[in-house]
Amino acid sequence: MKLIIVGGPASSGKTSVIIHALNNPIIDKSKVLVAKLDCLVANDSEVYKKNKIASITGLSTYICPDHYLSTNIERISKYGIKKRVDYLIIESAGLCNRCSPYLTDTLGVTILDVLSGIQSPNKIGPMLKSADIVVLTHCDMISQAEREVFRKRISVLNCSAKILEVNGLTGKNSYRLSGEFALAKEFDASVPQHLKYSMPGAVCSFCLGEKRVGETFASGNVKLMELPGIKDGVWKK
Amino acid sequence: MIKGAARGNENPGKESLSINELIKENPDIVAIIEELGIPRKGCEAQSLSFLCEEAGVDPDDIFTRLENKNKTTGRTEQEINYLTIEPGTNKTGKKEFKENIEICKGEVIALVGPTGAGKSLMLSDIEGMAAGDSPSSRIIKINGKNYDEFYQGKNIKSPIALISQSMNYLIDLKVNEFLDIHMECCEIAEKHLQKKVVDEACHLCGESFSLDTRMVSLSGGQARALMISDSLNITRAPVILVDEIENAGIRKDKAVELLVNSSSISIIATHDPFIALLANRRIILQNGGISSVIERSESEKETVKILKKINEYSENLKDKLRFGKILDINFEL
Repeated sequence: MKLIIVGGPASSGKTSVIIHALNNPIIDKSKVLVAKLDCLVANDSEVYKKNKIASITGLSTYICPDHYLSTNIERISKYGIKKRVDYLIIESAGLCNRCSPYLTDTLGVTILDVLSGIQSPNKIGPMLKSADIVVLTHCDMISQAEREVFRKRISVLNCSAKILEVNGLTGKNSYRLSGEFALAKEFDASVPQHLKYSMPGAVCSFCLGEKRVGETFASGNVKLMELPGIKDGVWKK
Repeated sequence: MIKGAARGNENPGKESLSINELIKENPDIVAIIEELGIPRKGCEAQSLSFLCEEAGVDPDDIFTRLENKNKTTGRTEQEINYLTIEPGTNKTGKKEFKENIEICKGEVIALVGPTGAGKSLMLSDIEGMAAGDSPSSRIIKINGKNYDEFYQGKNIKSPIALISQSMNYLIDLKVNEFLDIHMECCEIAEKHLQKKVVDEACHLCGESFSLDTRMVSLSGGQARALMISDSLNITRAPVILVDEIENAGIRKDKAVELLVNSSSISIIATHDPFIALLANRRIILQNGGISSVIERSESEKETVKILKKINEYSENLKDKLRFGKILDINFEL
């Protein structure tokens, strides 16, 4: 079984790109399972069903979706092995800019929307830096020059990642992503898996449902913002 | 040397070369040496391994950085001499055309055919260097190499630029600020080029704009003109694809003239006979496939002269319209 983890900001086109990549001749005869992790609602199972792709859904609800993913990757992969699938695609929830769900020994794909602007590669940290493949969507909407700048900025941050431009609507170039899927390493369940990049720390009162805001109500792993005029927590006069 | 070989280093023996010799081989090494704080001045004849030991740097680190730099520079190292279109199939699944179509450096080709005949698909195939896996199953080769052979898994900059009707500038910067960013990304230092880019763009459109204009306030025509001029001067794309230049609201004759005079391969999808005849060959598309390729004939060269007059006349009328004049007709062929 090949395990492929797909991440990217919300609404960047992850589901559409996955569907197109799985529908190419190089893959569509294999047994495929998509595990979709999301926060509150996930209607993607119907979209996958329409495209005759088997899928399972996990909702993280009150837990950080990326922590939820890291916890459940083992379970999902065991399920995939039990079901004897050839390709197990884990589609993460729309990630925040501090997270990266990729494992050291599996193919990690980040999907980015070029419409998010040429500054976005610099704002998206670990998710971009630790990806093996970066897929750009909506490339037909922006100027050639901006597209070049976008690609360049990605390759400065992550020079080893392959950059592919896939059209999520028409599926143009999706076969190149399918080819990368087919070349992915076989997943070895006997080897302990590691995240490529650690998750952001939290464990504070807000994690446990605190709604009152302010320093008085924050406890646990808390970080205070430094502002001019405050020194060691005391406001200067 | 043994150390390099034992580690599977791809640069065995290079650390015994002097700094001077290494710079001659690859000038990019200067920046890396300076970055790592290795003294260079006065030590040009010393071997790299000696200097690295002095500075406490692993020579392998230099070569790894150099390799990464080469990967990210995004230059297209080789010159693009010709582009080949290997025919695929049309909408009915039949082979579209018998022979391969070869397009040489500097040549201008027109793509013509009714809407829906596959002009955009052809442009999309060329832009993505289709490898028999697009709906048309065409194969596009550059210098005789297909996509995989050309890129070899590297992130080199695409030699193909596309200017289409759906493209827009999204960035909220002034024109000069944006050109700064684009030039930095293309590793071009000549600042004076910015003026040339804007001048050429203004030459194509009616109302001129300046380096201080904000990108978002450019009109559709101005933006399209800037895209053309930017592709020629900054991207310096060896292959330029243009989708229906006549609908862009720019001086189409001047735009095509710019493309004709450049050394790039230009492929223009068009419905305009004047533009189609400025190209020396035209590919006719029908039913999703190539139906024929027509070379511009001698008699058509005469037609161009007449079309040029008609075009000038119509441009003249357009200008009259734009500037609130009365449109009286006095036209003779």
